[in-house]
Parts: sequence; structure tokens; C-alpha cells
Amino acid sequence: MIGNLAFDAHAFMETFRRNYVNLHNLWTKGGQPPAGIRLSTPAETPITEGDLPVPLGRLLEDYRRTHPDRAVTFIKYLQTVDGAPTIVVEDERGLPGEDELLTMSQTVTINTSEVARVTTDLFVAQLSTRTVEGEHRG
Amino acid sequence: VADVKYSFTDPDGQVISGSVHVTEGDASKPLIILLHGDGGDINDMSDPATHPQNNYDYAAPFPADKEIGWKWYPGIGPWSFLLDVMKPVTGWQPVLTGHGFRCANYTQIDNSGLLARPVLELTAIVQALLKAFPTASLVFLAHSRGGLLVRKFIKDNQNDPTLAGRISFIITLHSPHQGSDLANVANALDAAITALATVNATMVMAAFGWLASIVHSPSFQELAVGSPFLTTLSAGETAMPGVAYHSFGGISVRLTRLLSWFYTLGSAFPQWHLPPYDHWITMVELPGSPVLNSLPPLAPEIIQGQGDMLVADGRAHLPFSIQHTNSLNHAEALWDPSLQAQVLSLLGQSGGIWG
Repeated sequence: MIGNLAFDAHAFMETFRRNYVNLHNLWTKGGQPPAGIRLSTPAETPITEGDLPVPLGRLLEDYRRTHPDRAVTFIKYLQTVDGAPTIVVEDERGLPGEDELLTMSQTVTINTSEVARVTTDLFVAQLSTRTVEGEHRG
Repeated sequence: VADVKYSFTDPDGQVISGSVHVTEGDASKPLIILLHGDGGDINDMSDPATHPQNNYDYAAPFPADKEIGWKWYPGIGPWSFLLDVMKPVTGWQPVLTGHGFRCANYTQIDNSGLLARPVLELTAIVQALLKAFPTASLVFLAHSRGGLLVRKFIKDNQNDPTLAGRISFIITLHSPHQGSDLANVANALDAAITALATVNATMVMAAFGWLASIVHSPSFQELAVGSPFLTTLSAGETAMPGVAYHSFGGISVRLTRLLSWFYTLGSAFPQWHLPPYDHWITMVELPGSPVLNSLPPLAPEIIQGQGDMLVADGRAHLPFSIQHTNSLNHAEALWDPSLQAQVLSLLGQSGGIWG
């Protein structure tokens, strides 16, 4: 439950995975990317915590504080402006399983009597178990 | 269907003529005269889904979540506001005719005015029916103010020999026999409704703006607790010999829920998809719902367990009536199947009269 609305986080992650489309494969193995899009792989454009907008960086700090045993590795990044993709960082890998999947996003808008723009940044990360130093003493 | 013509002269000397339809039925059963309430019309007793409406299905389960589609912006907050949907209902006339009773149903003159001319009109109609159906026993089935209409008619014609032995039942449904206190607190009620409307003015006024307007009307003020009309009517009033009086009151103020289709939280989360937002909506009940239950307890008429929205159960009965109470609101008395079954049972119990 978030606010007054019920929310099933696990089910949402399943939905996220079900609706997922690998844009890298779509545009490199069968078609052309839309004009104006910057398409690259994580190897070419590494996604680091420093790339996160400040509010997302704070969210990630909170997550790490409450989940010290989880390592977070960013593997995909998508930016859309008014629904059209402008930046895609992705390779041929699919999504992690729903229990190893973390997503972070930020939507910002500007609106005047002449201009309306909606920009969404979506980051996808792989969660893994982090080995804490000193944990293995045997 | 027979058309029975009648005419009467009003207090201004104007001759008014009309006709009332009488549906076909079993001649061995009584003829039932249907009387609607204040502001009503012929549909109240025949097709209440047409008028007065208010047949909200407030107990309906919420529908399943609905997908709106993929969008490029997050879906957050309310998507729409609405009241409960209307449900199909069956009014008194089709129910009674379905059981073989003949019914006389009509829209009263001055249906939103004072009762003076409707009483004269009813007198003329009854006289016309007695002549047209010389062996028929009469039953009055009256909703709301219709109950006061028939009481005034009876009092004015108590000694009319043509009525002797011709009326078997007077059944009133949610009639303000002892008045309605809402008429006495009309201004306070206005203020309470205005305050509640801050939740959502359009929704609240759609749900019961009618209540705010009706309580100020002269016809409703005529029914105020302690009004001159009611005081005069009850003074020296006695039951007509040979007539079984039954009064039904209601104790539910549940009318409709205030509902909203709300974006699901998942609609606010982008997905790896173009466009990224999958909009879904889910139905929720808003604060302040159900509407009438949210009003302050200004009068028993609008308190759950005491009133039916317009009439308090404690004021819906007569000293000489057999009293019945149901958990119904004022409008539900026009179509509720359990109430209809109770009335049919009453009529059927008097088998010695009509076989």
C-alpha cells in the first residue's frame, strides 16, 4: 500500500519485464533507430552513479543504507522527451529477474503558454549480493 | 386501459378537466390509486428510473481496474469523478398490474405547489372512479407528500356517503405525517451542503443539489414540523371506519457513493517501453462518501438509522396506522422489491374482501 492505493511491487516488476522491449536489438539487428537518437552500449557509454540526477542519487543512497548487502550495477539507460527516445544505452542483454531488478526514474517537465515538454530518464540496474569485507572469517 | 374523465372547480372559480388512466386488471381485486410526492410526476409510481431517478446502485462492487493505454507522461492522481451508476428498478404500477391489480396513476396538479388544488383534484378523481367502477374497492398507495394528500382528502370527505365501505386500505410510504424538520433547518442544511461541496462541488451538487433546493420550496415548507397546514390537518383527525391504515417509514440516508477513477501507482512508473507509461485506473471511494451520511446531524431526517433523507421514521406514522420501518431511503420506497412484497402481502391478506 502506498498512500491509499494498493501496490504490488513484485507484480509490477513482473509487468515491467513482460512489457520490456530490447531497443538495442530492435534497432541494430532488424531496423534503424529513429532519427536523432543517441544509441550506444554500456561498454561504450558506462552508466555510473555520477550520471544519476541528484534526487535519484539520494534515493540510491537511501536504498544502499537499508540494503547494505546488495550491489547495484547499472546496465541500461533510456531518456524520452515527449515520449520519443533521445538517448538509449543498452546492449543485447535482457533484463535481470524480477528479484534482481532495480529501476530508477525521474520525470521533469516545463510548461508555458507556448512550450510543454516532458522528459523522463529511466535507469535499469542489476542487483547482486555484495560480499562485505570481513564477513568470511573461516 | 380505461380513461376516466373528471373535472373540478378550483378556489379561483376555474373549471379544470382531465382524465386519469386506469390499467386493466382483475375486477375482483381492488383498484389502487397511486399518489406521488412533492415535485413528483406520474413516473414516480410507474417508472422511477425516469423520475425521480436517484436509483443509484450504491452497493455495486467496484469494477476491475481498466487499462487506458501507453502514454508518454506519468499517470498520477484522479482520472475522473463519478457517482454510482443507476440500476434498473421496477415501480409500483408495473408490479401491481403484474399481480392483477388495476391502477390509477396520474401527475397531480400543482405537483410542486401547495396541496389545496391537488386535494380538489383527487376528490374529483375518486368520485369519477367510484362511478366508473361501481363495485371496486379502493386502495390508496401514497408516496411521501401523497400521504398527506390522501389524509386531507379523507378528512374533507369523511362523511361522504359515497365513500362508505369503498376504501379498504390507505398505505403511505415515507410520508411526513408529523412534518419534516428539514424544512425547519433549511438554511443550516444549505450551509452543510455547501461545506461538503468543497470536496467536489460538481459531484456533491449532482448527488443532492435537489435536496438543497427542495427544502426551500413553498410546498416543502407546507410540510414543516408544526406548520399551520399540518396542525389543521391533524386537529380532530380520526381514521375512516373500515379502512386499514399502514404507514411505512425509512431509516437509510445512503444515496450514492462519491467515486473516482484513480491512476494506479504503476501508472506513475516508467517502463522500458515506448512510450514508457502504461496507464491503468482503479476505482476508489472518496472522502466524504457516501454523501448524505457525511452531513452533520442537523435533523433526524438525514441521520442514518433515523431518517430516509427527507422524512424521519418517527414522523412517518399516524396514531391510527399500523407502523412499518425499513432500511430504505426516500427514493427507494418507489421501487424496493422487499417493500413491494410487504405491501403485496398486506393486500393479499385481505382475501376475504376480493377473493
